[in-house]
Amino acid sequence: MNVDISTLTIFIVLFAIFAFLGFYGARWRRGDLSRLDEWGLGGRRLGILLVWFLMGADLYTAYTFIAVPELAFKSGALAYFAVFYVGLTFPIALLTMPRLWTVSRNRGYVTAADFVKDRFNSRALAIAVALVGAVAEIPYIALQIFGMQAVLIVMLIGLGLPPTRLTLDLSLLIAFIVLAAFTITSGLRGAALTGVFKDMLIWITVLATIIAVPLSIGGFSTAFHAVKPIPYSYLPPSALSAFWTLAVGSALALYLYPHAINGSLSAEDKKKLKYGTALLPIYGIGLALLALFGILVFAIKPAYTLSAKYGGITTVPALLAYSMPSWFNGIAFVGIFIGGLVPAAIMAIGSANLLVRNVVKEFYNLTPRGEATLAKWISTAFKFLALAFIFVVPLSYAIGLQLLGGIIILQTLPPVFLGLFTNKLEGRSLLAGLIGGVASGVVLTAYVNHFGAITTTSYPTPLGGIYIALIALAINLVISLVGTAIAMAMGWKPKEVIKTEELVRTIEEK
Amino acid sequence: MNSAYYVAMLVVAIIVTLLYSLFPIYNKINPTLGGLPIFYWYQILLLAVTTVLSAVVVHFVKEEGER
Repeated sequence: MNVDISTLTIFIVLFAIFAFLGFYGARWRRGDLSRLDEWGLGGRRLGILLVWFLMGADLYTAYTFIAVPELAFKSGALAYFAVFYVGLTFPIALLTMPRLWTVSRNRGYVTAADFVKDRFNSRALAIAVALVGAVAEIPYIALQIFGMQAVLIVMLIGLGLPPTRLTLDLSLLIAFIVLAAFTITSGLRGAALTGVFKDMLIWITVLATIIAVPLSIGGFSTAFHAVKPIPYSYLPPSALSAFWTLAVGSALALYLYPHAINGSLSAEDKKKLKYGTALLPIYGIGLALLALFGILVFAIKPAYTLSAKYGGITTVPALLAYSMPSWFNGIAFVGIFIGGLVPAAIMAIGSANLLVRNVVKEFYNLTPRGEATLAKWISTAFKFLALAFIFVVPLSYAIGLQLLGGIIILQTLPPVFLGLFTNKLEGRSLLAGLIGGVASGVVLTAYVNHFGAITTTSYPTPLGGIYIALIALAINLVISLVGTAIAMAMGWKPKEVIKTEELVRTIEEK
Repeated sequence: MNSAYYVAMLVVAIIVTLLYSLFPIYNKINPTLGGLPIFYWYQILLLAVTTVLSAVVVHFVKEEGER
């Protein structure tokens, strides 16, 4: 196993540089960090390249490094639903985010809930959208902590610590403390600057590994010969419906997450947002190649053993540990480690922004400084909730965490995405739909897993498995539309708080 | 027309979804590319196709008031 003291040294040195950049981010293009939109949105001054890097930082997370390869390791070709998902999610972002960006710029919105409140003239709906957004981030943050833990497990074992419960708990503790200390210091701007550094490390890791590892084991064909064709080379027909619905459901859900919306609203102008987003599927190629690690690992016996021991979550670090030189593993491990850390920080900030602006401020008056301070503390509290989630919710696939978040967040689609194109939906009906969607999603998930550990997020139907997020969304839409129809029959009419023009073009301040 | 950009982008989203839904074309092993079954390389190739389609719409179909 090529993990030794040089791995650890390089890991620590690079992490120190990263931490320095995080602090420096607070001073970079100085703004008043005591104001929330400065701390939370980087002062709205990030350009096309930085938006691209920042959004990419959301994609190269533990989802890409840990959860998707784990799914490939266990279930084979099904893991490629993530590639379909990444391919489709950016056209969806290009349909929705430019309008949300425009209306937010015109009316000073920072979150999707700000928009929903004015669009549907409903404070209760806005509070619900904010709460659902914040809750949906928790399992996603938990997934990042998992990813950081997986790297540390492999590194600790390589350094001679026995692979026991102690190694697991120690890794989890270190991962969590580092995350909690990082976020509070410099906000989104620190995350953006470290995102550039992180993505450099990650591209080095991805490209060097995806070329070197298959070469060292004699090409992909060796790995594919070591596994069964079904499900590792292609999908069994029975899995097609799950594959399709997981991809489409996840693609619709991504840009509803507070962290994704927060990132989009950080764009300097609409043109940069559009170009940056259009180029994002390129990141998906890296995700697709990393997913293949879950199959490549079958060709390297000791790496396979180490992956299997921890249920597949250590697939990528284990493969690296047995096929790359120890100094290189220092770089790669830092890349994967902060690949969980930065997105977790961004997600926690997004959730905190939401809760302060759209929930707390609805009930209490806060000064701008008080608002920023409270957001920092809430973002810290969120990480504790994520950690608790790891202990409380048993699961057998790390990807289940992200899919669970998707079921919840997708229920905000009618008010947020449809709201960008129509105001002919009635607020209370949308609220009822949202509640019905979240409740049915959670209940169906608990039911298919027999109220135990989460092993699946698909509901079995005569057509095959269907991702529960889409079933819950259908229930949500039916409630929203029927409710609106009843309201209209009783004489309800939409109020014109947001002018259509404000959704279309930037209106200069007079 | 004001909504041309959104119509064009919706068409891109639909094309991408359809291309990923053509299971009979790619849910199999052969032809392989560098040892990779078509199931994998077809989907990776589509990411490049998606980028090009999206970029073309962003570049050529402007919204009202956009330069």
